[in-house]
Amino acid sequence: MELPEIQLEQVTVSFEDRTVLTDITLTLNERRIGVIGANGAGKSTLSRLLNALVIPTSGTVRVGGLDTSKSAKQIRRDVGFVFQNPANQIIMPLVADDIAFGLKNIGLSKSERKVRVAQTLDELNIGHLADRESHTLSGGEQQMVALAAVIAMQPRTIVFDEPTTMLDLRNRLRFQREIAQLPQRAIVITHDLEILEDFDRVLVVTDGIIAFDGQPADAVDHYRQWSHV
Amino acid sequence: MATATTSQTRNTVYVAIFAAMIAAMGLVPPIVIGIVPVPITLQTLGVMLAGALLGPVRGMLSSLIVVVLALAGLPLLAGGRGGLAVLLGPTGGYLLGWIFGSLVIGALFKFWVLRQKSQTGRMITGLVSVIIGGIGVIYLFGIPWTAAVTGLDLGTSAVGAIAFLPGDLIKAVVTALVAVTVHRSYRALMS
Amino acid sequence: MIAGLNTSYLAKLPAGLKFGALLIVSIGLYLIGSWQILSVLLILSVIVLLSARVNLRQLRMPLVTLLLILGIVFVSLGIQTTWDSALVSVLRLLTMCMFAYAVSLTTTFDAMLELFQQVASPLRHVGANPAQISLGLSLAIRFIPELKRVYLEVREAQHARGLANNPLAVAVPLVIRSLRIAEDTAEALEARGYDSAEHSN
Repeated sequence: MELPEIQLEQVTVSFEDRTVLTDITLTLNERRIGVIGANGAGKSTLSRLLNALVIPTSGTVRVGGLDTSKSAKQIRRDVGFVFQNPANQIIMPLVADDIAFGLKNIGLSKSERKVRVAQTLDELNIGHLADRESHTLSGGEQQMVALAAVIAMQPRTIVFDEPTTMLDLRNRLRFQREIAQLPQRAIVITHDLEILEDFDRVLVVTDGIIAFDGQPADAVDHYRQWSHV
Repeated sequence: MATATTSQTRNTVYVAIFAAMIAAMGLVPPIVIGIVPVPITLQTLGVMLAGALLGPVRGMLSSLIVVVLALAGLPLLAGGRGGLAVLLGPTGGYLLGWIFGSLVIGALFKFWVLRQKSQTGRMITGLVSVIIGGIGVIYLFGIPWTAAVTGLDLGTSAVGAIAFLPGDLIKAVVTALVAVTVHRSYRALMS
Repeated sequence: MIAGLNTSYLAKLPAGLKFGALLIVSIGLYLIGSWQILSVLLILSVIVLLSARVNLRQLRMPLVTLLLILGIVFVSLGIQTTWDSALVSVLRLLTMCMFAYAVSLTTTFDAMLELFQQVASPLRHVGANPAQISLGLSLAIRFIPELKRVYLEVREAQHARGLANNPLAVAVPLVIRSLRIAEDTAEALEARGYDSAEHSN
């Protein structure tokens, strides 16, 4: 799978009264990228720049050459997003319908949707959840369904904003294994420093800037030292 | 966490979530507050909150969604009731009353309450607005409907409704307090 | 009250037909002033209901509430006017409700919704967006059990502080959490390509 290059050029993001990210310039090419940092440092905002949920106040973000401020819809087909809260990203009462939702938006026919949903559920070994009502799922199951809904749209990049923070240990480990096996590029914001071991690159975000950018082990060291205040 | 979600998407979701809240309030047991010896059902509290927090159009749509879902067969109305029988029965008017009640509360909040500068001013005008919309308007639709459908005269139908007045007044106070509190931290909710 | 699995002859009739018939029958019932005729019609309505093999257990609660209300109506009306007119009123209402139950319990939820949407489709010309409406309905259904859970959680949390029955201590967190859910969900919708400006569904 050829992965589109993600470029941030002098990106600053400000909301009303405060500046969240300052003058960020980055080129993301790698297959496994981690983002760590203290809460409120700007990680969530950074992740949302990648699928045009947040548009820069100044500077540009380009995904595969497309400008996020102009081609949001197109970019969102290629960059999926898994949110922190498992329950609030499942939007349909029935699991199968939820996974099919994004597919309607990209124009698949009813029969095509059915096939794609079944395939995706199979890939993640959650075929047994297809007819369940969304509110009866456990947190771990919901997060798997959320992942399925994203994967079904066949993006080449998936951004994860603290996907395991609200899960118990067993589900956390299971989800980490799923991420490790994904053929797509994964950009993961996380507090679970262990999963970053096999990653290609890790960014440390502190007070709205990239304080460290490099190998996982070094990044984690940097972050640990910074946290020992 | 401010994002660039379009206001149209957010509005659709606000409407749906508050509709879900109104429905959920019909599924939980009535509560007993010390002052009033009779348990109070919470569903109309949801109707009042939808209007006070979302404004006339979105608030009305929230109530409308609940009424539509209930008439289509979901047992969403207090007492596990649903289906067309509710509309045709003695309490059918109250369903219409909810829709217009949220509308009126929302309009009063948007054009009167939120224009007040002081919190106290807002609380007082807020309470008046919820009483007008959440009690006045709702009873205005409910009572005549009961009279028309059962053959009772307006006076007796009104007496039947009066039993709910203390509970509804408490709900009105709660709505005003909650709405004014929330609007203070969510300034953009009803800009 | 969901007519999930009814397979009787009534279930096979189109929803619009049943709904229309119900309206006509209801209007007709108001034109009848004799309790004898209404009694016969009541028995007829019960026969229709039973012949449609509806799930009677679903009717238990609503029926009890209805009978309670009708009992009060009967006594009030009897005292105020005549027992004859009280009987007429109650028989009429009961019959109407029986027919209404027969329709509701033999028409699937989806069929009912589709009927409403058909009835409301002229509104399209005033700017209503069918895709948005459909999403709104689905979202509401999706989050009803969720919000019920949030409410119960908030009450439990406040219970620990002795505030479970304090309306304000329960209502404010409930509203704040609901707004939060709404904002998260709106993000998720957009991330999955939902474009509210299009008739994309």
